[in-house]
Amino acid sequence: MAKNDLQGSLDLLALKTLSQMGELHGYGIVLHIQRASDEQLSVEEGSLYPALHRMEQSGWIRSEWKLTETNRKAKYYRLTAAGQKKLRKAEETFEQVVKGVRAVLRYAQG
Amino acid sequence: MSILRRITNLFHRSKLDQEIEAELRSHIELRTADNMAAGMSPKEARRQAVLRFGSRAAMKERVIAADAHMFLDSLWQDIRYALRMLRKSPGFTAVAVLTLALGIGANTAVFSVVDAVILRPLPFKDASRIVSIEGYYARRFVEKPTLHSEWADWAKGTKTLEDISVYEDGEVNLAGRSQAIRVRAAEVSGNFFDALGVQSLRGRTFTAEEEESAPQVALLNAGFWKEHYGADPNLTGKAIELNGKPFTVIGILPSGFNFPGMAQVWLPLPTNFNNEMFGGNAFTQAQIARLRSGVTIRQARTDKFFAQFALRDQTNRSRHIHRRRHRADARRRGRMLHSRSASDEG
Repeated sequence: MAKNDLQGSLDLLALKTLSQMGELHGYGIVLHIQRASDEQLSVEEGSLYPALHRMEQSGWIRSEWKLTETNRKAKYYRLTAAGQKKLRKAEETFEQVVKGVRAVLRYAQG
Repeated sequence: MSILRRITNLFHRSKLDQEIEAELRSHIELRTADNMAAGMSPKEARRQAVLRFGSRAAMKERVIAADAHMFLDSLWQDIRYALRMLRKSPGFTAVAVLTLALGIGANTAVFSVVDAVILRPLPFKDASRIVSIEGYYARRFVEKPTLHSEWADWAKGTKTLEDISVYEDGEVNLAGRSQAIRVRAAEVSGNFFDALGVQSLRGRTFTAEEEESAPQVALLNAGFWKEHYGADPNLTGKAIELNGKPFTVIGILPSGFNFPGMAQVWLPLPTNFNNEMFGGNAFTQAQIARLRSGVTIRQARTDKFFAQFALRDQTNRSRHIHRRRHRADARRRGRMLHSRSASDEG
């Protein structure tokens, strides 16, 4: 269960964001998750960067310093092949967890 | 691969630090710009951006902690994997363990010897000032004994050495208890403990008067005192029986001190050097002294006094002063004494 907790879902969100948007910096990931979730989810910056660093060390993502459209330096992240694989697995796991949690909730209601 | 990177991260922490710092700064700048675009004043925009972030230092720590955590995790995995593999092939494991055990054992043994003989300084005050004086018959490579009269001359004449002391070691019988035992012992001149800078734990060491009159008094090593007398605090002042004679214990020496020849008991050497406790030779072959302050060993070797002494000497003798490792010396002396007393008896 430890891998399916909040930290796990942050990894999933970040990986999914990168797979959808291609290349993105940390701030962009925060904005995307916020927008894509209809402002339901807000990623805490204090958790995002440790997670990105960890995923980079694990080889799931790669980073590169680039200029933004407004000519500011930012570190852009991109998914690797290993990251793609990890993302598929994480999605499956998440679906299972959601299914499981929903089943329990329904059981409690019924 | 990623493990290598993590290890290099450990060594380049300041670089990692800067990298994180730059990334966080860029994040804050981007949000500040967005905040301004949303109509905030520049000051307020920046304040909000920084506020959302919380403590930057804490955040950096968290990034680095993520690193360390991963490293420990994978390390633990590697260890468990290694243990599983070792359990699978017990033959290999046994050989590996045995090799390590022998290697470590041999290393430890060699190091203990090197440490004791070469590395560790002698456990004496100003150990580098201690010298031993040896006499040899030239050409014959045989040690020349020292007579009491010669020794008395040195003590008066030399300007390079002080506390010239003599000692002789051997064994004595300790009786008067349930079982008699042979004990390593030494007979030493009154200034012997001054030369080495050793002080008694309890009681006192020998005085110059005791050297003159050689009364039957004794010093014990603290280890010996504990082992054979249960560290009896009232032992000083009482007599113990050595070679059938009563000797009054006047002091206890530190347990690590056992020079010369692993001695446990010290007795005053009679003025005439007639150390009958060890067989009655009227001479001694072992002297140690201290270089006077400001005198080098080289100067002591060319001491006029010793040159004079050699001139006066008609039997083609020479004298050397050696700076010495007394521990090794003690062992060698112990052996020589054995062989000599053996031939004396035979």
